[in-house]
Amino acid sequence: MKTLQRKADQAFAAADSVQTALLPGESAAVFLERSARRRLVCDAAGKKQLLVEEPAFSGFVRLEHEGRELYLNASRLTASSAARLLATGRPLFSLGSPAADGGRPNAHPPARPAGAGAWCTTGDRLDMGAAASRTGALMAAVGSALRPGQVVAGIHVSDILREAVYLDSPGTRLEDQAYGVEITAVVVGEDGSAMVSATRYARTLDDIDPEELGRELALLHMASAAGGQPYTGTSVVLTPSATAALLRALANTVLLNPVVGPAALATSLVDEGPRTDGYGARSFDCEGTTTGTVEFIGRDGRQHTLASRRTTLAGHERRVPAPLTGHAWWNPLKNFPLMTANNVSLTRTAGTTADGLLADERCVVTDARTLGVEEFRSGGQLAFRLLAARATDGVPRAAHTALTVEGSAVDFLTSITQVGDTVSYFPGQISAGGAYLEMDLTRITSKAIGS
Amino acid sequence: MAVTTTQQNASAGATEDLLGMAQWAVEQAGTSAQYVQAYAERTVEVRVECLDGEVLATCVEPREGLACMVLQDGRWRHRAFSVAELPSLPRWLGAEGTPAAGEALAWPEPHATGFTPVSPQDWLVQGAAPAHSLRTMEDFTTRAIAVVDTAGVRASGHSRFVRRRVEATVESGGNRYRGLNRWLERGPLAGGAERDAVPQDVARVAVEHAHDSARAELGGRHRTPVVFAPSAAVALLHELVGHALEGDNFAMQSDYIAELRRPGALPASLTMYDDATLPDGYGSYDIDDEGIAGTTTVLVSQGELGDPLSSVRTARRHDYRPTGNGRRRDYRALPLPRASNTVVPRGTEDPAVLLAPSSDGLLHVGCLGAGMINLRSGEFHFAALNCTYITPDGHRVPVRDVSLVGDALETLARVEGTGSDFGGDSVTCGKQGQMLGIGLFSPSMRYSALDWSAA
Repeated sequence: MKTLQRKADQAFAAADSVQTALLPGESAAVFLERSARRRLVCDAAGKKQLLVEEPAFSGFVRLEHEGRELYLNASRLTASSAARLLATGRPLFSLGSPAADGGRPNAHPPARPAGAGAWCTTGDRLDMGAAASRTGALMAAVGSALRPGQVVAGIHVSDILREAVYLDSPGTRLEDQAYGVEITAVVVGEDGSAMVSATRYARTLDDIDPEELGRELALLHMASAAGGQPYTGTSVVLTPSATAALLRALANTVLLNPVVGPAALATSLVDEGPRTDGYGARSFDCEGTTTGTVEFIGRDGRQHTLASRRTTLAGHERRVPAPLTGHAWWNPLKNFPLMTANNVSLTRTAGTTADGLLADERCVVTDARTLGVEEFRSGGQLAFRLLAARATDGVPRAAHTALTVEGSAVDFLTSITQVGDTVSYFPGQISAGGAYLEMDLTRITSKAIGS
Repeated sequence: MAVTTTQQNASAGATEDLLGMAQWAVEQAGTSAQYVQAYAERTVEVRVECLDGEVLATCVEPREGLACMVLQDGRWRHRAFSVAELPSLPRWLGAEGTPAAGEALAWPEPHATGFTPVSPQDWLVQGAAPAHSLRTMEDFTTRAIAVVDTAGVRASGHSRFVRRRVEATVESGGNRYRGLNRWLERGPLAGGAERDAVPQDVARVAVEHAHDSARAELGGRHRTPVVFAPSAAVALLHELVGHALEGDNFAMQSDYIAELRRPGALPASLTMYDDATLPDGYGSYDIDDEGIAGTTTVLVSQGELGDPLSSVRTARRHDYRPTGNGRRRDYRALPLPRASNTVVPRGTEDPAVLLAPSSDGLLHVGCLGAGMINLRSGEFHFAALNCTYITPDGHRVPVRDVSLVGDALETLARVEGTGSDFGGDSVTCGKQGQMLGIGLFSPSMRYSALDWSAA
């Protein structure tokens, strides 16, 4: 059976070709990455199909000459296309910008000594043949947590290998290998209606609890049902998927609009680049800066400084120029590395467990859909549409009508009263850790005005 | 076999060599294929981003290569080849024998773009209120394509445009508030030294929007009549109706689309069409990305649905009329049925009369932002920008971070007026990961009631 193989040598060959093609006086930094995946798709009847994605390496070249720099978007860069990419960019070099100060100190110690080889999240690899023989048991485990009328329509078992390399003219040479396993289960009503799905990610298949995934799917399927009674209380519990969606939107917002007016929080928002069970695990960012663990927003509500070569995002710590923190992200649709978070999560509050949060009758939010895109919102305010279900001890009873909540990032963070353990990191441009958590909606419930 | 390059001048006629490449690719296919399409592209995008009168960063993105789409034994296959990967194309197409050693493919050299960005200092707004920051993004594209297929298509096209976006930020009470504006130029002179607008004027509007956002005080959830400004009106219809009429979506078994197809689902006052031939449309083209001439397609005529927009694949699969709407971000992506420019014709009502508030007031939406519609259920949510609330007694109050939420069919039934004004805009629209430029043209339109919230 086809397995996911390391192909970083191809990326290094392309990056070396860039260096070879430089003219006297030029220098370059090259960042290339790819994400390969095997996906075993299994339907309810047990029919299986293996899909393999093996994309090429893409990224960017930062070309420097006489104190100026130009970014070259390097899609599918290979050793044979490197010189052509530089030839396309050189005539446009006069349009470039003054080179950014890249010589600033790094906020984190190196993940490993120079020349020590690749940084890897794990040496384990999934035996997909063995996993294929377990799909029936996995579906049964997910199904054991469902309610009458809910059935498992299928399960996907994937493994994902994300590779990244960074190489520059002064001689820096870095390689990351982040590997993990993902399960996605699909649940429908017995009549085939209302399809929902949920995902878990971990270093190995054995680290994923399919019954816990089934519990969330039972709640999600119930909450997706039409109709339902309005929820008139103020305290809700969010499932891990809903928490991850909330965190991702919060992180995106405070990256554009840093927190002002700090307030005491029950938890803190942390970002851990080298977290090995995180979907966004990396030891260096796209500028070759070492990543680390950062208290993004502390319990005092203060946002701490993040910095890349071109951007310093200062909340309350206004230290400029700040040390580089390993938060640069290459978006091929943008013009230079932007600020991002790697693996964000909320710290657990003392004594909080998922079972404790779900005990007795609760309103459980299973889906938090952001209304609008942070980039287009003018003032850093957030709004969400929440799908929720009434549940007793985690067992769904009935759907609630959707809730709308809105407020600033600080309003949402101060509304969080308890947080359980992070169950899984969820994919996305920002990998977000999902946990069961409790929120008090008093500050963020949208008030109806007019008729 | 090796890939060599040939020197090329920058004229619009410089697509002959791409036609040759596409022809070569089609000739590599065996005779067993039912259909073969080759698409060759040479695009250079130059993006210049400035902050407060200084160049912040410049990014150059060449996109050049060839894509093949094959229908064989009833199955479609698609693969993209970068220039370096072209030698492997014959084998993928099943060509018999091995190409002669040393046989060369003449892929054209990159050529001069002739792009002259706005001087960073020219964006700065003289005499504007202090304490604002100005970020500008200038995206220049020169794009040459050629398509050859086994159904007789042999066509090429060249386009050149520059889209400029301005983001002004003001600080008030420690918070930051943004205002946006944009400006599109297209045609043979786009991106040159001569311009059809003054950068400072474009930036000034963004600064004004930012100050309006900072002044906004109204929050909470509301249900009021809503008037969409020209182009914002068609932006909503593009989302609620236009996407549903894209061939692949139209064929979907969905409750929403089934209801939309039911006679009487749309108001009789509604007419909208897709027009690839507009001279100033962001989505205009002479040929689509499958070599079919761009044209005008009626989407809705007086409440009756017209043709779905089709690509070659969707037209063959669902027996739709070919409309020339196969579009792709670049050679790496599969062509999908997409809008070019969505247009609602001018109405008869006085735009000032449309703005008459009800006893609950009225929301005026200047620009529709990002959001989505669920094409299964018809549920939608969109951000709205540049909004003003008109109180029942006629006072105008700026509102920011507006979210519109609702059910598409219920919303469409509430159209109650179409203005005699008209305006256009250029937006980017995403589908299956492909962001494309779309033109939007319409008059103002009034809805009797919509749910919205402001933060």
